Amino acid sequence: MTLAELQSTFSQHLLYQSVDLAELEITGPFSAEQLMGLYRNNFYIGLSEYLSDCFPAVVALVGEEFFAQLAKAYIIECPLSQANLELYGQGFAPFIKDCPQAESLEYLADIAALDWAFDRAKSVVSLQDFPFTQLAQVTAQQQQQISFRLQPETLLLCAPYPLLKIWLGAKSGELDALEMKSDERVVMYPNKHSGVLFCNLSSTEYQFLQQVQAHASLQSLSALPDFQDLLKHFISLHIINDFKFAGEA
Amino acid sequence: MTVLTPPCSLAIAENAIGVGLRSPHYQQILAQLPDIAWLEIHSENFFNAGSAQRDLLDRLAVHYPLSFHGIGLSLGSTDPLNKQHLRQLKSLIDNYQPALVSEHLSWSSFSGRYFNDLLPVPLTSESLNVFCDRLNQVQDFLGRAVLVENPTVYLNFTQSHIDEWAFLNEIQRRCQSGLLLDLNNIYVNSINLGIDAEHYLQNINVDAVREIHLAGFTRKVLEDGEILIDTHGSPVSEPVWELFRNFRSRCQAPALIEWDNDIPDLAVLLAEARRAEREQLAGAPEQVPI
Repeated sequence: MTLAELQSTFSQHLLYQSVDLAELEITGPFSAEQLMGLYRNNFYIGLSEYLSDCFPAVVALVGEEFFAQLAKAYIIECPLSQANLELYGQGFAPFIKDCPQAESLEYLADIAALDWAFDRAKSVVSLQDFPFTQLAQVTAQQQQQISFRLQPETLLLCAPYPLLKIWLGAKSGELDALEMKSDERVVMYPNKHSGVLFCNLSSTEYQFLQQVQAHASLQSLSALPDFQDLLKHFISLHIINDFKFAGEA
Repeated sequence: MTVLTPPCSLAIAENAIGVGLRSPHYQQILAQLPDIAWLEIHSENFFNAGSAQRDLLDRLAVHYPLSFHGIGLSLGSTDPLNKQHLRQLKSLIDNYQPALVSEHLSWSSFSGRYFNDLLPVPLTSESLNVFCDRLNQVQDFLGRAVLVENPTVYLNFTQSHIDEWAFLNEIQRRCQSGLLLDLNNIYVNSINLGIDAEHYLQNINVDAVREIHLAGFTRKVLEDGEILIDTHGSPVSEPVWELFRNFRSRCQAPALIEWDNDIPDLAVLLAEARRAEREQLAGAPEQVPI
């Protein structure tokens, strides 16, 4: 057996694909199944622990056993494609959204998105202040073509249930008597002083930030209600922290 | 005292005892700057230049000599080297010029999929060629020698026909790399697979050993017996301290306390480092009076 063949068979076994372990010609203190089981357990436990660290509210909502099943399904379906784990959790919320096992928990994918955004926002160290001086130099003609930027790692979510209350309740262990039919819009963003901040948004605020996130031009934004107040407000909160000219990356 | 002289701002002295830097201790170490001879990081956790981890490393690098220990290069794999990973590693190394850079005799990727584990390499001529070819590429790209660590393995492949110590010695000879000797791994393998730890240490090329790891293991009970698992989640065991004392009489490479799981208070970790200092005095080569 060549090295590539051995690694292929070994890898397939780790991923629960059907292989003939006898081909590996393993010896040791226990059976080949038991010894390979040690490696397989170690692989899943390592990645599951990483995911449970990134998604504490999801764990709190579904319990460790169900979370382990979700994690295992994710590891098999969305393989780790680099050694660095830092961004491996990025696909977990979209995975949950499409996962039949989590179908009955309609809010779970959004809770995972909040967990992930919180984790990512914490990792941001240097935050850029809004470039007021540069904005003052923009000519009136250029002004209509500029678009604003949200602070990196900012998350906007809108849900037909009390998303932030569920997330906070799961994290604190106090999930009593929520009115599940109240919808909610949320922004979560990195902050210099607190690490991460989040709050509810009105539908007008949400629509405005959605447009900013989509890089709508100043000309389009100015058609939205309360445009000037909203722009000032979100710049003052450091949620909007930059602007670009049309075509500029 | 001889000092290792790699191209670094802060060198690591012979017999210096370091600890693995892990996230629960970041802030305490930064705030208190405890008396630790050197720190080792897992390189991959510090790849992101704008991250909080890098900010921390910037501050700690001023106070402590550093060693970068990689877990993701997958040197034993038949996959092509991951160029992005290598570029990130080089950038990190170029930024801090650590005293030591190390990786493992293992593989962790196949066909582009990663397994977040150190998987066993069959000890064959083919594996040796693959490993040396990749290590040479890495060292050429980084422009420096890399230390290769002996792994914990839980099984043997029948096709293996080279002793692990001989395999490591040959890697070092062919690649002019160094060795990182993990004494706990040797002990765990000796219990699980019946290798002779003393024979291993007698035959390893001691002149190539640039770093020693000390760590703890966990006993796992299976249906028909017990196996030691290299968890790095407990104090260094007495048999490993004994190996350390004995090996110290022949090798003064800097040693590190590694603790990766069930991470204790910093005080406990530092107490292990203090014990290593005491143990190595017991194992120091006899001084000949002049």
